[in-house]
Amino acid sequence: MQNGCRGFDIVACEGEGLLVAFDTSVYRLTAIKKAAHKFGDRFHILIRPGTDARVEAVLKAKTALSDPKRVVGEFCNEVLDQELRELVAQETQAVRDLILAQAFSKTSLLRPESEEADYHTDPLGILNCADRQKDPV
Amino acid sequence: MPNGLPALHKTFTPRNSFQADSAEGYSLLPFQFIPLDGRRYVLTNLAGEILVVPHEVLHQLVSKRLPMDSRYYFSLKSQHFLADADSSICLELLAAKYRTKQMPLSEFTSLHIFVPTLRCNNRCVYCQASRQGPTKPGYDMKWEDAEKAINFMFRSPARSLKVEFQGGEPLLAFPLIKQVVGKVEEINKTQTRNVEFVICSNLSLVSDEVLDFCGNHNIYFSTSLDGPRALHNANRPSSDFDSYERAIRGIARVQDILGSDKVSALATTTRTSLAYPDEIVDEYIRQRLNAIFLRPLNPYGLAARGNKELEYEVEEWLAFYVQALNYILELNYQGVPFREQYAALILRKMLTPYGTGFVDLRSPAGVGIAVILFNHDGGIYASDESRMLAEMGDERFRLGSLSVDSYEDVMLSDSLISLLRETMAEGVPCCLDCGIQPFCGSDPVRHYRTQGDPIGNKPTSEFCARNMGIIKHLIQLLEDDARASKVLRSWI
Repeated sequence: MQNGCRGFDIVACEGEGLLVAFDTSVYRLTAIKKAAHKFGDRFHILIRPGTDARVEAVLKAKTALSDPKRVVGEFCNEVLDQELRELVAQETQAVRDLILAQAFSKTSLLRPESEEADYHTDPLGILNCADRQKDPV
Repeated sequence: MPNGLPALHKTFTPRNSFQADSAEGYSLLPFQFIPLDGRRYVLTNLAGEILVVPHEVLHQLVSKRLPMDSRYYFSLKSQHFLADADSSICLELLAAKYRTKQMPLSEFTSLHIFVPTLRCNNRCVYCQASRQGPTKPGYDMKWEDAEKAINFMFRSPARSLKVEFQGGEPLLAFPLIKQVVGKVEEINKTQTRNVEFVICSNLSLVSDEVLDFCGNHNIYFSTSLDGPRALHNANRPSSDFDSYERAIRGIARVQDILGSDKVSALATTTRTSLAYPDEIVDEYIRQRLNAIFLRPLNPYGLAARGNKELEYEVEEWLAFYVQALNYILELNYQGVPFREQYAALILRKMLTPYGTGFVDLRSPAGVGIAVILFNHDGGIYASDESRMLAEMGDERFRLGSLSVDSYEDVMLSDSLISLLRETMAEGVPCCLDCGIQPFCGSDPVRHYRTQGDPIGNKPTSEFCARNMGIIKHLIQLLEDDARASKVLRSWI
């Protein structure tokens, strides 16, 4: 069996298992591991280094599957979802930490200047904002 | 004028001022997602905001290719999934919304369960509490322990305290219940908390004396009604009386004498029950109840795993639940107001700014910090299920003893703190990335019982499969069925 898609190949059968090779320039290892954990109810999964910057996942069904290729396709979709989650987490980790810290802080971490500011000085520029609205584009 | 729309009055900010500056682009805010079906994803965030988008919109969003004038862009922005140049206060708003969701944490332990006796006059086939015979000595709570439990309860900082009497059949120890209620009310004259009392009873022993007392002290009843007579009596037999007859007579007496709001009921599902979702709901309507709590078997006592006559696969229970929910919705369409309580709890988390005190739908789990249980023998447990496990010989979730341990010993114990740490869904494999995590929770006792680990392996977890099935079904109804959505929104 040989199915090729961008970033992964279902390249061979090994005994009763299916082997999927992922291109690590497309998918990171964490995404593959998380997907493997999620499919642990249906498969015994071995993750190992492959050739040419690839990582191989060998999926061995715990019970007989009527359409193993379809389930392996679902596994590949799950790896893609996990890769998206990694991208979101990577971009938002710092702001997530900041939001959580702000939520449980007794003072403003996001705008520390507002703790001791004088409203006469309009530190947030509210007056300017109101002026903008009076002057439609 | 584009699209032939009328010009806005000059007092309105021009339409294009709401248009994000495409040169500056947008940045992502933290969110999780999960596939809803073959074509859509559910996106949720810290604040419990929820948005269903097509598959391609998620990919466009993450790869920064989402057109800034698309309708999804405005929804994603207003619900804090992305921020652009004029999202000046979105972080403050997210932090405030997250803090509001977590408010139940600051309230701390509210529900205090007393087990005045383990004796019971029913012989339920699924008894999870390991009941003892109705006259068997040695299974009643001593007054000294009850008094210590009351003092323990008033150490909780919670403004609202709920005293719940569980069993066994608690009305077999009615004198002790009266003593506890009297003492709590006496202390509360100076404490001035909002105190509520609930007796969880099969209602077989509801007498004039019981009703008088409960009426005078504003006590609520929670009971079990498993369905029509044959089903109820098959699930909850008694060697001394017709269990169904006593239950419905008790419900009617409480409704007529104390008020219809003073009694609620739940239905425990056995393998036999699975064939009768509509009939079970009809029975509740017949008994003038306006809600049902559909409860699966809990794997303790006689309902422990391996009892083939009782148990079923989670998929079978979900099919039963969906059918019962559909039937309940049909009744509502016909003008019969009726709710399913577990769905209502989840919908409140989903559709309001607030969290829940319900033990299994919290992160960290509500063990100890939402509920605590004082057993008949003076043992202190993290939850009702914890003592059920203890009655099976496993003391893993025993937190201490009323006779020797102080409030601080118990609440600051390593066993409780580590349990709470392990049940933070935000850090648990699979849960931390899960799109329904804001609406779900954690059940360490069940996971420990079924999988040998309080955190649990979520891909093989019944708890995960059940909540996933229910929550996704509710989201699909809210999205795709306007009539169902209207009814569900009325339950919050």
